Amino acid sequence: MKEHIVTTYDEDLNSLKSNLTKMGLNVEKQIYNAVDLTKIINISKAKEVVENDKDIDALEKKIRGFATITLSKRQPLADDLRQIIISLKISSILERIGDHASNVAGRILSVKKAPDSYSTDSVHQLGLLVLKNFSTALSAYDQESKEIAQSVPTEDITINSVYETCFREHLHLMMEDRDIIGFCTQMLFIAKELERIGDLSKVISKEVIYNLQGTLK
Amino acid sequence: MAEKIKISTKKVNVFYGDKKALENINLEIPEKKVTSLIGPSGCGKSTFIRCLNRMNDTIDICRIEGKIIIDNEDIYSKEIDPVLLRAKVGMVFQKPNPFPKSIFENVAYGPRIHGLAKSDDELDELVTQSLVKAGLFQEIKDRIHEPGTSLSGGQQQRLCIARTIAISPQIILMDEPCSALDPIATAVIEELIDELAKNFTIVIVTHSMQQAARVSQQTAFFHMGNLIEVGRTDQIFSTPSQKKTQDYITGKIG
Amino acid sequence: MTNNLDRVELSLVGRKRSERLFKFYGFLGILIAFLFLITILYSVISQGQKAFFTTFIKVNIFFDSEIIDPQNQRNDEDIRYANFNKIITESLKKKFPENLNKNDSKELSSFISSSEADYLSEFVVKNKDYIGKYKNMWLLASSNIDVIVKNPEMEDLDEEDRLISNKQLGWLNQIRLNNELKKELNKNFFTKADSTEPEQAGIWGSLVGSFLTLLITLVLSFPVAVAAGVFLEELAPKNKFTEFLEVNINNLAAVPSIIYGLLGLAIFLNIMHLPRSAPIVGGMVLALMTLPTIIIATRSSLKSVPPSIREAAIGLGATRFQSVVDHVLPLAIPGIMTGTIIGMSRALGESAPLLMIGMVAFIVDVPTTFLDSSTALPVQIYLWKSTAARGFVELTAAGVIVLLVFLILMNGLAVFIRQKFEKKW
Repeated sequence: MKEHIVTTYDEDLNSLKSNLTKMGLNVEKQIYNAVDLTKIINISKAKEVVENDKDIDALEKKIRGFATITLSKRQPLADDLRQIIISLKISSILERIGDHASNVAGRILSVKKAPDSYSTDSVHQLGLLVLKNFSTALSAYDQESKEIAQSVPTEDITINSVYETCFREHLHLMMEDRDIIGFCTQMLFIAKELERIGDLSKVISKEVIYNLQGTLK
Repeated sequence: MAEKIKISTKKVNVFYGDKKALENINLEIPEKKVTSLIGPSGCGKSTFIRCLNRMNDTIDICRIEGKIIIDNEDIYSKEIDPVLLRAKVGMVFQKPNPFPKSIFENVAYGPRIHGLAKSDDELDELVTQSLVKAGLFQEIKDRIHEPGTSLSGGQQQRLCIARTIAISPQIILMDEPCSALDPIATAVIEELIDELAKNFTIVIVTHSMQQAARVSQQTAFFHMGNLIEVGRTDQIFSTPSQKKTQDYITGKIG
Repeated sequence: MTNNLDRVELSLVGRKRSERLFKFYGFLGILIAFLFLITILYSVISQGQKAFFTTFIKVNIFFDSEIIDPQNQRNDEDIRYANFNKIITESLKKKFPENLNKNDSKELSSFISSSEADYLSEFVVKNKDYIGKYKNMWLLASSNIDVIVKNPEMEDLDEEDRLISNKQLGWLNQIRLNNELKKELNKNFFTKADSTEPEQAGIWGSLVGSFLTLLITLVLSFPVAVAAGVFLEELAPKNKFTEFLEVNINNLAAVPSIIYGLLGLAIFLNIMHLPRSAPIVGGMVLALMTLPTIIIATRSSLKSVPPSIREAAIGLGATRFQSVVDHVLPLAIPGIMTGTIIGMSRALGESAPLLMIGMVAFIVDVPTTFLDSSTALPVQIYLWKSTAARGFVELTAAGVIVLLVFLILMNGLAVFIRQKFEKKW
């Protein structure tokens, strides 16, 4: 990457990027914990995930403020301008992903315990796929790679079909056993949250491509 | 976009003595639009713009090859009289240079020497209209016979613009017209450029990327005497196709 | 860091001292120059102002009809031919009733200026009824008497050095006692041209001569020089030839003025046979001398006008010539006027070239046209200085005063013009 004549400009842009990466890693950790909760219910862990969402929000505010100042200071053009725009967009997306992860944990807190007759782990599997795709999207941003970014929407198609399968499975479960309808409904909501995370990861990868080539194709 | 081309340069090379200042410039300037020329110091953009009204004729060691065609005529051919050319192609300079005469006399000088007004009343009207079009009339209408040099920097530059449009040129060349002005005066001039573009073809040299992005529809990037890239302004400043252009506009060492 | 400041402080001592010394010397120089100026002005003015006044003696003239009009014909021509000197001498004798021998008569008659005889004859022609009558008249004293009256310290000198004899001194004192002596404005000085008699000599002739000469000089040199300056600076191509021209013009400004006189002698007098000693020739010679000065001032003044004004005019479609005449030249006027002042002042004061073309002759008539013989102020002063008669000493100084006043007025006019154009900046 060619350096700017004004070195503090480079420092500002690098700082913006590292903050965003840090936020991404934090969100990744939240998703990991939330997905883990869909396998083994751990109340204290769930509480932690809900708590930590505040930090994510704070990071988003910080990044937004920093990007705004950089915009006014540097009056950026071309690739610099795009980089700052997407950092604003991605930070906002990450914040929403963080909310979804926190919602998953919140749902776990309200079910408290899995019924014994509930034997499927399709939600967990869905979660693992979503987590992996999110990490890919983050890598695409971090490494500024078009190829990595392009693989995310492709994988998301898989995620969507897994979600459909998971949805039908749970409907089946609810029809067979009336007692676990409540629990299954919650699991369905959780699955939806996870599916949303998948969608938003796709948006992140699209922004990365925009930054690299100047168009949203 | 069926744009009418007002100025077309073909294989233009400019030399100062033995030193080559511009190489193989092929640039088309559309009619009644604003074209901005950007580039680092010494890249040749001022030299280029001064070729368009043959101001470089006043410099003995300056030599030009190639053709510059305005309205189907090569302005460097022997039949063209540079004095007549300059009635068609006006120029506003970097540092405001009003004549040390009254505001009225400043604007009236051009029409006088070209015999554009047949009577004193006609001249009065012409001067007033030019000052109105330059956005200066309201501010100075009560002191139109005071010296032009008593105005502020921004007003002086608008006076120079009024002076230029008084002879109704078709093309107005502006060589960094705002570089000596404060931000508010600059904004007033930019607003004026927007208005003027409705009736004149404007070519503006500027050091400010943001100004070029704001006022022009077409931008040409010069670097070390070469024309690196030319295109629609919004494209040049968001996704330039040449790396040199990108490096220059983002302030990278290049 | 502080080391730096200490070093700076040390250097300040020497630097400030040099500046103080320089200022002091400058001030001292100005003071000395001022003292010189005061001294010169004082000596010139104190001596010169004496010449502005002249002595008159009251004489009771008896218009003896025997001498004036013996045939009683009242014929103007006869009256004019009458011996009025005798009338004056006889009337003077009546002042001093003691016995006077022939020598005494001569000494007495030399009290009155020789011009008064004509004055009286004209008077009688106009007032014939005075014939045979007495009239008290104030007559112009001769130069020697005038000198003694103006320089009373000369009375203490010995008779050989004094200009007037002891007897004459006695008569003078007598006249003084009788209040028959008065000093009045020297009209001759301001209205007449040169003369052999100091009391009849005037500066007006040479003043008019200088004025006419300088008028020619100005009319010939100013437009030509300004046009040449404009052409060479703005319109001529810049090549080896024009550079050569510039070097030559600069050198011409330093050529001794007498060379121009020789040039004038050779061309204007010997080849073109123009009248000698005429203002037209003097003016032409001085114009040649002044041209380089004004050309140089014009060029340097044009150079100092910022090129942005020129560019603005050319950008509007003015021709090169238009841009110079309409815009550059008016701004260059102050500098051009300065050069003109310098040139014209030099022309006023130069006598060497004028001597060469013959404006050194003794001219008694005030010139009326450009072709009349005349002389110029500096030449007149030189002539008076080299004359033996004592009475011309004061006149020389008075001539210098007139020259200075002329110079100041001329410069004042040019400065006024310059101010007027400078305001437009």
